[in-house]
Amino acid sequence: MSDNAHALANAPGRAMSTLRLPAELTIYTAAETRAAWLAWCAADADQIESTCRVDAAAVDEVDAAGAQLLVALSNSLAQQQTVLQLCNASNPLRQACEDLGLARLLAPDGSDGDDGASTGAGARA
Amino acid sequence: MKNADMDTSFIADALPAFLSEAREQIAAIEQLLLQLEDAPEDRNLLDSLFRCAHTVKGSAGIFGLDAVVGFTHHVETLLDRLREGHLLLTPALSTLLLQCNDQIKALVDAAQDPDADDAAAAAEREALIARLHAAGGAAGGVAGGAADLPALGGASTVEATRPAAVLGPWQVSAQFGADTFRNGMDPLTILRYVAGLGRVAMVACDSATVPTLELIDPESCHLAFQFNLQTDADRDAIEAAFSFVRDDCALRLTPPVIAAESPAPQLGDMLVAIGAVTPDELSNALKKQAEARDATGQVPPIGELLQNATGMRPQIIEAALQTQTRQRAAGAAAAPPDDTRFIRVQADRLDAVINLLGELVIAGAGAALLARQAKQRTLIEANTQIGRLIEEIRNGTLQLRMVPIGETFSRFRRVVRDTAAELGKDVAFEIIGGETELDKSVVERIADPLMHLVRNALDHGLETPVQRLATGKPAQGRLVLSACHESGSILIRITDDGRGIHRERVLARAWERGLVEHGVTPPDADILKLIFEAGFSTAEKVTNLSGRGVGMDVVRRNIEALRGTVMVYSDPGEGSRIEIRLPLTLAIIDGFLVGVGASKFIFPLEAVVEVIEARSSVSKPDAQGRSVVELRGRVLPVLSMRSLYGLETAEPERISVVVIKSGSHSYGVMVDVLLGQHQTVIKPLGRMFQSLRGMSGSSILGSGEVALILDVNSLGDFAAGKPSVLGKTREAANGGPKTFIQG
Repeated sequence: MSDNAHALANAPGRAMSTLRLPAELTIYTAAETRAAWLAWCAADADQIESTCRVDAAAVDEVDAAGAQLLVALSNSLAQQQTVLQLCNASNPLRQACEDLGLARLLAPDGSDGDDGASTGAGARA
Repeated sequence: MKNADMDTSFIADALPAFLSEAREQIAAIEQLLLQLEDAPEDRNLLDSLFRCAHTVKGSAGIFGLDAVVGFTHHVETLLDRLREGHLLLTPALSTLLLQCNDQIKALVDAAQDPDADDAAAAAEREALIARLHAAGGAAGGVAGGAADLPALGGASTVEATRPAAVLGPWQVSAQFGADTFRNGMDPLTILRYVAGLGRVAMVACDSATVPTLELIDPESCHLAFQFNLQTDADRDAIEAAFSFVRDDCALRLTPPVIAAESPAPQLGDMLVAIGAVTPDELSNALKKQAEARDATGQVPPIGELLQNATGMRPQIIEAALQTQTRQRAAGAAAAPPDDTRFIRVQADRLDAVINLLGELVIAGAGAALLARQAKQRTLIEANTQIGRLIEEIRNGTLQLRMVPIGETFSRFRRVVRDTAAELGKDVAFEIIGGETELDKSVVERIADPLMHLVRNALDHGLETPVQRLATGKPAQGRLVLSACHESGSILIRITDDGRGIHRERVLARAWERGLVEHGVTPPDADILKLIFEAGFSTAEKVTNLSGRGVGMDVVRRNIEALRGTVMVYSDPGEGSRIEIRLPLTLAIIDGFLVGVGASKFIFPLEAVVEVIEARSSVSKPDAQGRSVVELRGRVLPVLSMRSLYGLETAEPERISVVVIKSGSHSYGVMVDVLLGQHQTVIKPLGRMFQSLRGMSGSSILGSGEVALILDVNSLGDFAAGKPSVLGKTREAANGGPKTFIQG
């Protein structure tokens, strides 16, 4: 993670903490994951950033239900003019995003996220 | 043990369906091969060809028909190379494939009748397989395998110019239903499986279908995807990947398009692309089209204009139109798969429904009659409404039995091709009006007579190229098979530009055989009709195909059994034309009902010209009840139904004469009462009445009475005194003339 993100995470007076995606992002944990994210969103109600970076390194298992949840999160953030970005995505998550046509949610590798939204034109040949 | 029994009975039950479908595929293969002869590089056709063989092989595998699978596999391998562009379809290869297709057909037939196959056929198959391998070349090397067939020498060039992915990708759109997760399915797994079928590109997930985090039910599925799939698999295989979610998923597959640029190509451009017309011809035709539109406000179809201008064969336009329609459907939003446009129906079930409808017609007529007798207006109106509805249903159901005659015509292509080659003749075979529809049973029964007539034209009518050139004709002969609707009937014509029919030879042979009294020269039209007499043939040589003289009379009998007529026209040296007229359906007749004494008869309405009240001017009848009447300066033979059928009742004061026209005869029939137009279902006469002349069926009237339907052709022959032309020898032999009924 970049220094910027760390700074954000630890900035005093800011209630926001970087959202970390859970290890299991599947139908089995979908309900609780949604609840956790809703809580996190509520905690950041007054933080309006143009890009919301989440830590996606820990994701081990992901299925379509989990990916759908990511899309829902991205839709919610979009209502506040915020773009969701999955940083340091683990391999399973990266693969799933590409297979499902959601590569646009992925942050480009090794960047600090300031480059803007990742290119979404991923195509697995 | 029980499972095996169930399997066996399943196979036994399903085998007829397999055989029927396999035969369809085999017929399709033959048609495609013949089409490909004109367009050997058509990707779509080659692909369809492969799929047909693939389907036959696959289904045969389910039924454990190893022989079919084994042989078809070799054919399929070659077809695969063809459609990949590794091989070029040469005429020699085409012939080989046609022969292989015949073998596949034989193997499929053997599935039904295991004794049919034998060692000779097996040896033939081995030989064909060897030739297939030689033609296909070694697995990896195209140039290497081309040694045997020099025509394939260009294959390596062919490969270089063909792009690897010749067909575009499928466009897949899948919207998964809300219960997908709850049913235990994971769209991610499914998409990955589909990707395994080929190459997936441009996956897009529609985020608009997914609600926001606040609103979403995380256990319901709101996902929709679109992607391109480059694959060799067919539609069924792709759909099979979604089979577990099929009920809950909105799946749309758009097949690949040939021309990547234009999703809806213009007909003219397509024709230029395949070389059927030049760009100049196209622009001229477009100009004419614009002129016509400005002048008359109507836009003539570009296909017609091009055909008239260039003399291009109609089949090319038809094929181009079909491809255009397919591509338009492919480019359009939702294109339903071809198989859902049709439903397979068992023919006998359809017949049962039509029978019931026939009964319904009669019952309805009965009810209407009672309503009229009760003189209750509301009841009469209600019955009229019912009658109308019944008629509509019946017409609609009869329509279900209509099939285009083109399917039968197309089968002849192969026959013409092979026969012409066998006889050393060069023939251009044209089919016009293949979309003309007629009743299925008529189509089935007209196929054999038509085949015989076509063979006849090839054998006797058309000359060899040498002979044609000697008489100043082009070396290539022309044989046209055409069909069209004409005033309630279907008219089928077989036209050739061969040597025509020589009247003198026909007459000489007729005198020789005693068919005509020696020295008597009947009128021209009758001479030509003699070729339909039994035992007649002017062929010097009896060939395998024709010349035995057993063909033409059977042809005529079959046609007449269908209530049809056949006429021959010919210009010596120019060619011949055979015209067959058939009713559109065998089941229903538009009739004119008349009464004689206590009996009722029906004339086919199209044969009735007029009715005259002519008691006094009818002359005295002869021994067989024939008389004459004068009609507008001409003499009209008149038949008396009373005499013909021995009806005992007394003649009324006023009689009417119904004037009938059948073929070239006109004659009158004396009747007592005219009862008007009556459309009715025909019930065939039983076998007991087969020898009864003058009647072609019966019908049940609303009152429950039976009315007999008259056969206007044989009545016409009788009225004109026809039997004496032919019958002199017959009569003398059989000891005197017979009555009409006994024939």
